Amino acid sequence: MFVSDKKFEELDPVWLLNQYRSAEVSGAGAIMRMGRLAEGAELSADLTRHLRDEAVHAWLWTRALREIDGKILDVDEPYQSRLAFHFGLPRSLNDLLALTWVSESRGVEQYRMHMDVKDISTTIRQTLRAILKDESWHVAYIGEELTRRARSDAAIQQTIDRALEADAKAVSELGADVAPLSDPRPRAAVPS
Amino acid sequence: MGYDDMGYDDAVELITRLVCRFRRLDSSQLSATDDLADTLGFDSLDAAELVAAIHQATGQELDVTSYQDLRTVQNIAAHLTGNVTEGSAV
Repeated sequence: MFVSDKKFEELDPVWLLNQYRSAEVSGAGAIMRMGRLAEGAELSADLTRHLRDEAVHAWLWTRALREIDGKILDVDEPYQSRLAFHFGLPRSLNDLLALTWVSESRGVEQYRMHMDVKDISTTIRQTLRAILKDESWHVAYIGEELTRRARSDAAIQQTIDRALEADAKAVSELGADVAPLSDPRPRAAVPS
Repeated sequence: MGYDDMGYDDAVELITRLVCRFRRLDSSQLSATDDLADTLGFDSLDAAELVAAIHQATGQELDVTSYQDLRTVQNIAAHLTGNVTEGSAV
């Protein structure tokens, strides 16, 4: 998730919280579908916990919006649209996992950058802090799953590369001043 | 069950079963010619799930570039079995 090339101080907080809320709602839809495709017990359990998190996060942003008298709005999700455009239609659970990993990684980045802003309300800071812990776990477990799958399926490398490339194009088109994402797998596990 | 030599009717049966499982429908409620977007509100996430489930069941990746290529069960079955004609791809 990447919402804008503007500074946080320049953004309408209602618009920004709606971006966050919308990303969590969309995320819940994607994770629910991935949960139905998961074969193993561990991945199924992780995706179920992840689904709970996305729904809880959507509620936390909804509550934060209500506290600032903000309306719930339909908002475009420019990063997700660009990411989907450049990756193309996902064709397998591996594709979905790789796309979710890059998207979750950008979400962590976005929330961390927002946490670094000094002048934000207590409600937003508390919400960001609570959500970041979960989001970091999402990035970790999906990265571990991709690493595990890559051990027995060399094609995962291409899938990860395609997702990283789509992310790089998406953030570049949106004018984001952010570093490229690294391969989710530990350095020793990535073929040179 | 092997899907290497899947025929068109088998493909229709598989896709109908998957769509009905995801949407909690009885197979009698879905016709192979129903427009999935119009009748079920099928969106890009639904399409991604279906394509991934087909890959899981058959080992085949559908040769489509957009979820809008996946209009009906009949149409998806044609893609899966390589029987796409101008008429069936619409």
